Amino acid sequence: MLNPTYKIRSIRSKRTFGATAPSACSIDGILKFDGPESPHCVYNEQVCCRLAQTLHIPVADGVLTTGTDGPAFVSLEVSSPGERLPDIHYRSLPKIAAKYQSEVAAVVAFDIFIGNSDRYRNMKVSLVNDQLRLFRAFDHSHALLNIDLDAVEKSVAILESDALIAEHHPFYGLVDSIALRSWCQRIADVQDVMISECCVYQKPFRGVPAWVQDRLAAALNGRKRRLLSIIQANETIVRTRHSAFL
Amino acid sequence: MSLEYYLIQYVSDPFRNEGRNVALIGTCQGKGYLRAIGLASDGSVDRLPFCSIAGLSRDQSSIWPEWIHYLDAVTAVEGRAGRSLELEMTRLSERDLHFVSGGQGSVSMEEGMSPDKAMDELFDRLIGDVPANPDDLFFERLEFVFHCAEVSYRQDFWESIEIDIEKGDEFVTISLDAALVTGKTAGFWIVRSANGAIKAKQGLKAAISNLQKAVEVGFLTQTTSIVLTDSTWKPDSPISRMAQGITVININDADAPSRIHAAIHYS
Repeated sequence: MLNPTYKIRSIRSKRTFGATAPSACSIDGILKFDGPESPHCVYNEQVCCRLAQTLHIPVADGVLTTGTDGPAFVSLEVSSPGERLPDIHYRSLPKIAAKYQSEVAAVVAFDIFIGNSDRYRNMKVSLVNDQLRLFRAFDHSHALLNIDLDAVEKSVAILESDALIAEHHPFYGLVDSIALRSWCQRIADVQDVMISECCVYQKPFRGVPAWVQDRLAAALNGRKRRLLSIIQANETIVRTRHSAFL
Repeated sequence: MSLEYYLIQYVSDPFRNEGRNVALIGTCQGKGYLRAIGLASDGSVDRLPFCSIAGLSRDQSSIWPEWIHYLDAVTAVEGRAGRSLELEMTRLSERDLHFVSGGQGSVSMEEGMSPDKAMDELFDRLIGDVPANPDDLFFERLEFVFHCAEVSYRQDFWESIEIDIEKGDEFVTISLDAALVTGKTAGFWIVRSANGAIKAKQGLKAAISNLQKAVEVGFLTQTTSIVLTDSTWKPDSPISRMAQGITVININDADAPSRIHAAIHYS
């Protein structure tokens, strides 16, 4: 069953031409900017959104828009029919892992891939209604170039290393190991050029120079190949639930 | 001994910012307690009372069990300590517009009184039972009527929608409770007499204002602008006089689906 993930706020006038009679409409979103606590937030969010779409990871879709000082990112607000879903509570994590086995494995693999240690409660999940399947993660402002807030070079260097980065994750100890292995393999199998195209704009993107984009693309292409071995080397952590989520 | 409690409110229209108490979380001696509209003591959830107070259809109210699941988790974990509960309630109000913390308080319990008993009394005073009257079934009936009129499964059928129509250099915004937006268009406004005569008149006035805009810009015709009600208005009543020339259909009438169908297809 296909469930609507984003609720339409308003519909503009219908077009009188076109066989499908399309209409313009507006959908709610969350506008994100660069800031002191997340200096490359817009670039991060845009790249993570493109990576997730390329890899079919269930994260909220988003688009670029123009703010007063350059590009800004709009993360489309995940909604189920009627009203917004509540934030997830960590007590519900086992139930989520059981209902959304593949989605959970995809998000764990993705978070390790992009170095996201801030998954925490940043997900919208339909848990009670058996008719409604909705699982979307969001917020990647602390991954990629913001792993180390002091310098982007340090963040890229960490991605180039074999570090797990995501030391704490709500689904460690709950994720299905076969599904996780399968998602790691899927990520590793994606062509390098596909990953590069998600990262590289061939011109500065806000405060991110083109050479950093190139280096990030190379780091991610290396990391996707090592993803499975990184997880295997940190199996104890990945298989154990962190006390903060118990 | 005292019981500390937090109210959870449902805000139907965040712009108006008027909340309706829907749930109550209490904490006493390191244990949390939850009471919520439609939540039975065995943990089962009846969505109908929430549909009724929130003005949502049964489909839309599928969200309420999700919220009760979340509140139950908060009660079990953060409900163990007043400070944790306060933080979670603050977080809730910051993160959500429709479900917010509606304030807190504490009650002292008489000797021998259990926290469960105190919660039941608080629930009765602060929330109370949603009256089980036929009005509760309004949105059920509305869904049934839309279904029978062959409206609800059309791809261009939308509920609670604003439509912006281009008129010259500007857009005219029309608010509708439901609409068919392509092909043979139709607009629906709900005016419930069950909410009282004054509110019904206010609702009709708002509907007429939107309806006239929709007709003026050519999005709808007078016939395909339909006001849906839950009762038949007396012919000589003020509200009937207000509604002169408008298609008004009582959804409880047996012929309501065929009248809607005819208004859309044979007008």
